[in-house]
Amino acid sequence: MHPQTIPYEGKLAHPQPRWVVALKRWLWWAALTAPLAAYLIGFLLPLSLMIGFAFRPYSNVTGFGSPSLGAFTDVAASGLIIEAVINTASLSLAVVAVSAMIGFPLGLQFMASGRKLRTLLLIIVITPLLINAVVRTFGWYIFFSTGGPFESMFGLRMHGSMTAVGIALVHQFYAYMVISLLVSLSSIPGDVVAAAKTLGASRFMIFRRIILPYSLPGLVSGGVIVFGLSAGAILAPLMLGGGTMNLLTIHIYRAMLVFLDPQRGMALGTLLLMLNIVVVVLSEQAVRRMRTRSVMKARRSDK
Amino acid sequence: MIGQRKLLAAIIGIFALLPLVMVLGSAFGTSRFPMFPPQGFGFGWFVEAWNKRDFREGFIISFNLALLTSTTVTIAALIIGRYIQKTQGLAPKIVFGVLNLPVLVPLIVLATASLQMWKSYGFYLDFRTLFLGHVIVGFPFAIRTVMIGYRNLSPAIEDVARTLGASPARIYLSVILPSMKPSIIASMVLVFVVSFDEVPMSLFLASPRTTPLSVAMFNSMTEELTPVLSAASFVVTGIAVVGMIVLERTIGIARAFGVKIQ
Repeated sequence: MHPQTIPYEGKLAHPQPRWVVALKRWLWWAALTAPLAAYLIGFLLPLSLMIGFAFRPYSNVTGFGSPSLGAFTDVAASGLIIEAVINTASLSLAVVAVSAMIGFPLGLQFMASGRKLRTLLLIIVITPLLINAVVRTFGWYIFFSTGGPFESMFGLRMHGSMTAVGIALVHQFYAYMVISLLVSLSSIPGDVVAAAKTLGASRFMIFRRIILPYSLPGLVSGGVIVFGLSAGAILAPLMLGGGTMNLLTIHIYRAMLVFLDPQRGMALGTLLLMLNIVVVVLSEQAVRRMRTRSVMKARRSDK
Repeated sequence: MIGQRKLLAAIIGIFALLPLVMVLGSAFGTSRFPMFPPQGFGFGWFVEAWNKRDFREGFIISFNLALLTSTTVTIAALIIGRYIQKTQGLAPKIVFGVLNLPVLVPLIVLATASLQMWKSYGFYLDFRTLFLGHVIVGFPFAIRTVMIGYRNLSPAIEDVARTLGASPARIYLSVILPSMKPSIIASMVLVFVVSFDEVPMSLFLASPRTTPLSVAMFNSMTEELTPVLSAASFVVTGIAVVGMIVLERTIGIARAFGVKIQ
């Protein structure tokens, strides 16, 4: 890379005793492994324990019982929890869809604007991420409260509705969608769009054939992030829904902090984690399939 | 066309700031229920927020926690980032991937799992357990920001220092660290704001003696909802605004959140 620089291979001006060198190496490894150990205790250990706990009934009197699917069969047998999973998934999907609907026009405008407007747009988009979540959600609470600004403006009662929660979640998380879309959109070569225009493609055609395929990876990774964050959101459902909303996070919160039923909490936590993993895997497969399909299409049109 | 762009920016701007306006506006009212537009005008709720013990103690705990977390996590990110930068092969890539995993796990799941882990092994919840939770939450932000700094370093300056006979420690401390200053500051500030505003982890790992401000604010909302919360929001928002200004001045807010466009 820099052929003009010659690595220094000669003796150091002050040769160090061997033990100092050994100590230094040891310190370097200690410095490196300490954060990794903290990470293990703080992240991997609790998660694996959670999955373990979910499969082992525990009581204060007898301690751990033999492994069983008890907590899961309880959860699966309860129509309430199944409904909660469906509610969580559909709410999060709706948030992803709305974020994408905001993200595309915003991203395209962003790419078409000058430096000043770009900076302004980015700051506007990212601002909600840095405002305290309690403050943000409290703001939506006031906005949607009975007799609040929304009700007096539109005459619609939104207090305690899933839509209100959805709007608060979009506000909270759409920036992640915009960010990943921007990364993809900026990879579109400008002359491709220009060429399509000269060949007489309509705006819809350009979007369908150029912009959408190019931004698919960004759309999917943004979607996965927004889905995970929405499915795991606790503040907005608790504050805007009054704690009675049938969502997975509400059930986890109540199992852990209200009813003090940890095994149920662990099983529900595992369920939420699995929901997320399923979404990640499915979306990755979808991207792969679409990519191969577009390659096949290109080959066919070559012939 | 230009009108259309400005209109879009205006709509998104109103959407972004709407909840903040609601909260900050309602703090000046005199009614017992937070309302927008506020009814009456007064500073009574600010006095009450200042006198509220939960908020004052929560502020001190949150401040200490955020400061400790951001320092620890930034130092850890500097070490691990250096390892990733200097080492070839698969191992650093695996380390980087594994360290970014928390982004994919819902925080409430991690918080639930941590709470149960501490409880079932007989640990009491205190500042230390809260601290470890915040370290895990803050680390991905720090490593991303610090890696921006490492990637922007020119390899030449390191080579020059080595040819001139500087020891590895000397190279790191007096050549690399000073030129990493913007991303170190950005990492500190970003993690500070993230930790100060963190809710799910704090909600589950808070104990009666260690209740961070955001949890105290959340509790005040579930107990009795008054504009005290709006007044307290001013302080929290002030910290976020200062953080945003520092971020914009150092590496740019957009890059702190992973946007890199020309």
